[in-house]
Amino acid sequence: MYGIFTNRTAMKTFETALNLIQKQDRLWLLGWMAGMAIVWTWDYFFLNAPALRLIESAFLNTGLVSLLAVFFALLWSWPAAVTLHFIESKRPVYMSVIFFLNIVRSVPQILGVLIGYTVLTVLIERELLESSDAKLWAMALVISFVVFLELLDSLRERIRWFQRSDFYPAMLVSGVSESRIIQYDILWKNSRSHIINKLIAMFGTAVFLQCSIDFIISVGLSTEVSSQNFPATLGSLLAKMDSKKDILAIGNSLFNPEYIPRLFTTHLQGITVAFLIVFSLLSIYMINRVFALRKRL
Amino acid sequence: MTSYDIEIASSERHLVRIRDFHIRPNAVTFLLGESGIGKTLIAKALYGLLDRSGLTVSINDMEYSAYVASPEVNTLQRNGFFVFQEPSSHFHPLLTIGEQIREASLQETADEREIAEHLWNGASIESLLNIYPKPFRPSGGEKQRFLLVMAFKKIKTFLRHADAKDALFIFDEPTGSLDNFYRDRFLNFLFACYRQKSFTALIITHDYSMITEIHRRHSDLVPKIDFTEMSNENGQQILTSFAPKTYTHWLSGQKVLSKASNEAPELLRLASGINIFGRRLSFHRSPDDPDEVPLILRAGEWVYLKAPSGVGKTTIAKIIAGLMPAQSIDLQFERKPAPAISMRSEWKKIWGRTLTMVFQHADEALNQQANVADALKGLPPSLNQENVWQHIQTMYGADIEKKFLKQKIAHLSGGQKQRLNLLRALLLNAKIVLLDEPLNGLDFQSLSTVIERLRQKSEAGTGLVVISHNEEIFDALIPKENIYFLKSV
Repeated sequence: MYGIFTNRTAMKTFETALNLIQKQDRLWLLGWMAGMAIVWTWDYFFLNAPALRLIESAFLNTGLVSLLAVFFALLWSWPAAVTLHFIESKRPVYMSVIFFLNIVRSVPQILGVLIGYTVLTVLIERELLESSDAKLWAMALVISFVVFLELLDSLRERIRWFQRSDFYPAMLVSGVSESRIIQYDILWKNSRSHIINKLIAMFGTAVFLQCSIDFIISVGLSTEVSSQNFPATLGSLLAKMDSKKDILAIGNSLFNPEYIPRLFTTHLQGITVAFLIVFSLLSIYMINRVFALRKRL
Repeated sequence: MTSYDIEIASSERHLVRIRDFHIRPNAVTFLLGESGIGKTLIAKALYGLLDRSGLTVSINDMEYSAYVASPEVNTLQRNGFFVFQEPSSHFHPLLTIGEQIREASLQETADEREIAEHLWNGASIESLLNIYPKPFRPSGGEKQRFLLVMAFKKIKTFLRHADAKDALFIFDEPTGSLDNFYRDRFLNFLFACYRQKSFTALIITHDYSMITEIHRRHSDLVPKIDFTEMSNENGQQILTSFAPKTYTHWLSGQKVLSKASNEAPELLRLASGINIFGRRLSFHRSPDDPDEVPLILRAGEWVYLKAPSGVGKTTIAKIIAGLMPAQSIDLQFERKPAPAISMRSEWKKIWGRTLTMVFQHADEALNQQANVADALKGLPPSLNQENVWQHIQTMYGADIEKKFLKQKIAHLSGGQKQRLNLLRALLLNAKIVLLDEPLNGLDFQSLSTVIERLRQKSEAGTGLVVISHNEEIFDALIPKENIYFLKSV
């Protein structure tokens, strides 16, 4: 046998450790889930049942809306990237579309969501949007419109990058259709990791935008939009009076350390919501970062 | 130390595992074989140059850091030289070429002028010495020759020191960017030095035609030259002695293809005088002939386009394929004018049907993330899997297993990639196939298979335009009337 691999056990242990480090994104995902589970278990024993149900519902709504927003963003950006590629030679049409997209891009995302929520409020007031489920889908749609450009830019960049390599013209002169080259060979085969990475980042953005906007409208900064019209989310829950008191209690405990234990029993609603937001955003950020490192993006 | 057991592994798989790699002391060893199977890795490992990050390396059961620190390796390095495969990566961008060829142990010597004059065939290199290396200047061929100047300076130093015994000179594809004329000058100079005092050299190459040159001009040294071929079987590298006669007999057995009759349909006509990037490219019957001729390809014919590196052979192929615009061009397919480059929809009707092209570098021309089966999908006309499988067997051998179809292209050897690159073009019913360096990275067996497949293709009526630095092989195959010389003014 080769001398280099004589100590099989040491090699195996080293490989396992290396494997674990390289797959840290999955560890972060597990950690995130475990964190949620621990918080839920604690709340199950120490938080009153109506408040727990409210947190559960807010957390699920936030997650669902963010997931749907990411799904919609992918749904818009993939065909948009392919269409833009094919109309690039038709300058007037192409430039008009790019001009429109640049206008969308120029609106700050948070303002874009606020404008979208105003439209939703009008629809709700005119009873065109009634059920909770429909409202959640509509919220996701609004968020997806303001974040999808990030993915679109990324997809277009991938297409442009491969167009510069020999592989693109080599397939073209072989008679392979341009649509197959772009969609299958470039986007599907060569850009999946990039797309997943972008989607994870967009999921984080969607959670952040949602929490920010729901908090803003809940504290009454907008006269057009009311939080009462929308299903509960982590942002709107954080803006509730009970939660605000709980958050203030954290400040109080800084000067009265003996108060700290009470944070985990009597101020659970606000603390839980704040923890869920911060810990989720941190976990998503870390999953995204480590995934990019692992895939060498 | 002359025999090596080398093992190189990444955290995922074995990259190289060879036993008993024999380098005869004071002899010249040619390491032949297809690209991408680890020849460069082996050479770097032997010379102590391997970047160990992420790799586990052992040589003769010795941990790599211990091997690199050993006095034997230090002596080999001190007296020897390593010529890298890619000349651009060898040079420091912030030092002039002149500074680099006189750096450290390469201090200016009287030999420098003699070496340069030989490698440049008497042309002056003074103007090139003050250049800071850039990707485009000096040219690839010039950079390669400067690397050889550095290596020969070390060889000359070794020859002068009577007490210097151990030295290893490694040349990794030293003639990859040179045409045959300069390749032969390199070989002449190398063997002229060797005749003064023998040294150990390892030359990695795919260029089997060096064998003919060695037998023609340096036959007295044949007993001091070893030809070893490396192949890859199921991830395990195999080293075998390569008998030069295998190649020379094969070459002498090649019959010149007959020229198509004038009745054969004309597939392609490209008038001489193509203007591009402020240059004018013209076709001639011989390098010294001032008369220009149009490039004509008939059904079932091979046409060979020759020129030194950098003149624009690939550019011409891309212009014919409608992938690159020319300022003025007169191009016809089947006696009809080719569409303007802006008429993309027209070219889409031509690509894959009237014309196709095999790109020079299979690594870049294939989707590395796809598998073998994927690379052959989407072609017009769509082929059934059984038909594709038969073609694969003719290119890769009847004993190839079906799981090969599922293999990721990135994990194939360079030779396997090149055959796939060619197979994609040969599967099509295109009337014209442009072949840019079709023998790149192939071992001898694959090379002969590819030539046979191309022969069959042309017998079926396809016209082939060949661009290749393997002059010896294509000169033996293609009638003189079908050889064109490209010039640039």
